[in-house]
Amino acid sequence: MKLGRYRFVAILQRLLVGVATLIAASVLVFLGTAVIPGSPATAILGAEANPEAVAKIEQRLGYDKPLVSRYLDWLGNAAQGDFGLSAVSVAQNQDKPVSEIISRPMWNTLCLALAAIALLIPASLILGVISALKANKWQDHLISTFGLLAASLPEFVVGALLVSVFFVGLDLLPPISLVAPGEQPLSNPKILVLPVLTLVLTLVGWSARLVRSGTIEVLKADYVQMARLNGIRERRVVQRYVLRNSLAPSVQIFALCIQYLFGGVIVTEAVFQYPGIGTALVMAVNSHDNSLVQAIATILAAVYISINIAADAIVIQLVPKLRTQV
Amino acid sequence: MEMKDSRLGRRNFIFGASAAVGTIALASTLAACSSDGGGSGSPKTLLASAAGRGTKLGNPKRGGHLRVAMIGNGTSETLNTAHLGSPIDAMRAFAVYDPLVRSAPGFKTEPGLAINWEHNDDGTEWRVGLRKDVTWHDGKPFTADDVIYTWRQMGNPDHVGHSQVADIDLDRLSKDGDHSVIVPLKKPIGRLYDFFVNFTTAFVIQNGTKDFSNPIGTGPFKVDRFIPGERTVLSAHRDYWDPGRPYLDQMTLLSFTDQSALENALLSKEADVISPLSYPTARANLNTNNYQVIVSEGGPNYVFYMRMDREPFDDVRVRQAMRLIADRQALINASLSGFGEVMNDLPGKGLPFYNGSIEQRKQDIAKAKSLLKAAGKSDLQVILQTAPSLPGFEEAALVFAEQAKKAGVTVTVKKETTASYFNHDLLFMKMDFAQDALPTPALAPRYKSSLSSEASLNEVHRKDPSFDALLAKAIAEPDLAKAAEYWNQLQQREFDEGGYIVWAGALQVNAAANNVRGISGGWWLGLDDFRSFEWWLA
Repeated sequence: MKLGRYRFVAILQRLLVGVATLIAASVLVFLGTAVIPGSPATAILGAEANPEAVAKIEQRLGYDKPLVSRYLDWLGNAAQGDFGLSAVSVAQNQDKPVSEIISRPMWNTLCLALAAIALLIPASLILGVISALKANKWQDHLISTFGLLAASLPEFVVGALLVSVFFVGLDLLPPISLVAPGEQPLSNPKILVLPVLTLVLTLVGWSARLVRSGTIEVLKADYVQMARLNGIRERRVVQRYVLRNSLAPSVQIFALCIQYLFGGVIVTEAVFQYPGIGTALVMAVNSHDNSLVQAIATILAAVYISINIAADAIVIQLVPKLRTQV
Repeated sequence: MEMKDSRLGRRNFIFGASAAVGTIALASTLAACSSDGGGSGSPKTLLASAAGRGTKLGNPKRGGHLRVAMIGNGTSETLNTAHLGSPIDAMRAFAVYDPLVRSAPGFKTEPGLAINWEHNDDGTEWRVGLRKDVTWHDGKPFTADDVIYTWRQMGNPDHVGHSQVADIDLDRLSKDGDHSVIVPLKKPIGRLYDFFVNFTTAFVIQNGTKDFSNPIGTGPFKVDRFIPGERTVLSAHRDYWDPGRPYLDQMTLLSFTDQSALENALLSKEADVISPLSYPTARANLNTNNYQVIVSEGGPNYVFYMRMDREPFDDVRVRQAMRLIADRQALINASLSGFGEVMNDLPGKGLPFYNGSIEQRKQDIAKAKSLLKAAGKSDLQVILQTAPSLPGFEEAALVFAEQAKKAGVTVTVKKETTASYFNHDLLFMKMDFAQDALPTPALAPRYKSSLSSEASLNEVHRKDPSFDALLAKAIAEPDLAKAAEYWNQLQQREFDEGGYIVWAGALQVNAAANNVRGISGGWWLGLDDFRSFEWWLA
């Protein structure tokens, strides 16, 4: 019971910090979009825009109110899941809710991210553990070299290389990943292959290396040595003692990777024209659609923070010591 | 024939441009500073063989589904004719609506929904005759009421084309029967139709239209589905007034954000037509069989502009010297991979009333030096503000700075962001020496928007009542021979004393799969000026 209370307090504490971080992030996002030159009104009406027409649109957008008041209004609505109307649609007299615009891209991105995570975690664990078990042998060098090479390249370069190999060279996979309206990304899994590989390749070298370090540390632990001295077979030592104990640090590593993945998804989606939240964000910035940018950036920040909190909660669950250290 | 004077046009190119910019390394840029070109692979030779190149010809075949991929404009994409602002908007609108005046190959126009334009003796009132056999997508007949409603909507200050109808007395528009509109003007206009070629003012919407979410047009295609920033699904309007057209059954317009992805879409057969194709890729594929490279006959006029009301450019000798410094072909070779038409410091080459009799200005460093010396500016130092807004902008600025060194002029290139470059609140209209691209579908709207004292896009800050008066006479004169004389005088003055260094007509380069037919180069928007009713699949 006492342990449960400590766990509850520990998680609550992280939740509160997460909410504070999200509010701070939303302030930055709001300020960032406010200082970008140009407004949806001038973007829509063009260079010969009549100043009165611009003022009229900006009034409809609430730009005549003080920034603080606009932010508080926006925050109040966002807290209830209402991100308001797309600024560009307001300027065009169409008044489309942001939620309507981003729901499909969000789903598409979720599919892409989950597919990448599903591949990234086992790949990192397998490669990391092999590297650790074969430390300083050729297997370790091979995994480290290729892993770090891929990790050192940005997503758009990895994406372009994959397109060169799998489309230009082998003509096996499509170089772009269009999803027709009404279709699901998973209904044509071929289109997900290259974006998923791009994301996984840019991350797997890094995460496998961290898994390797954690595993090597565990391999040196007294209880592992003792297990070996007791004559337990190596496979059982690895499965029973090494993997289980190296899992806690790995959770944090994967949390970091998944957070990074949600950033990488923006570039990757643009490279493959995948209709996800990253592409929507790029388009929103180009269109000066400030309310759309605010919504997407805040959602991405929320995802980022949520992953952190979830990872902390899992680690607290896995490491008994942490349950009593609030 | 109308010229687009709006920054819309510019923004429109700007957006596509950022994607079309082929990255040209500074080293190769500077290395290309010579205009000589040279061997058979020189840019000049490429241009000569490619300008105006369309797809293969043949007897049109009906049916099929064409997928056109373009650099899009995100959530700003619209079917509301009041807010069209990018090439993809224009492409979509030309498919769904009809213009009063169509662009036609060879820098020409042809009747669209308006079949004749007659004016009274002094050009203060026009009678516009309309097609009688036109139906809207919902089956209603097209009438004069639709045109009157459309023009009155254009007069609203939040319409992108509002300045183009400023001289029409919109309140007094009336109809004479169902297919004739009487157009009284506040000021006489000799060629009223010139103001309705640009896509900002071209299209006719149905009387009473307020909501564009399910748009009704008279154009060759109906909208089945429109997702801004992603795709538009269109199907043929089989009651279209132009016999036999459109040839296609279906057309899908795909919106892309990345130039490489756009080109991959063509290679992987996910798209049949792409727009634009980057200049370096176009050069590499001009003579291959991978796909058909489509090159426009003309394009936006690339300019350096000098502010005429402030030092040092308030001295005409300094402006003339700067114009003599420019080696136009070298600028085209270095910044547009050769895909440019040499211009003569005047916009609108190839258009009616363009003064082609003025001798081509060429680089003359000795004369430039002499003019600068006479002006007491032998050691002139200026800042040229540039931005990566259009393909080749930054490269051209750097090359011009190199060329200026020969005349002893120090040009410091200052790079700005696209967002601030064309922002009225920040840099636009406030820079002394900068760049722009002027889409020019007709002379009158271009001069009116950019070169009259009250012009909203008067970047050069020309304030000259006598020039204004001559421009007003040229625009107003209904006698075309007399009008030509006025336009010649006006252009001679602009050539002698103006603030624009118009150095290139930037050709628009696009590509189509080998089975696509019927697409010509186009002369001001590129890609056949979006005449999709003519396109077909072999």
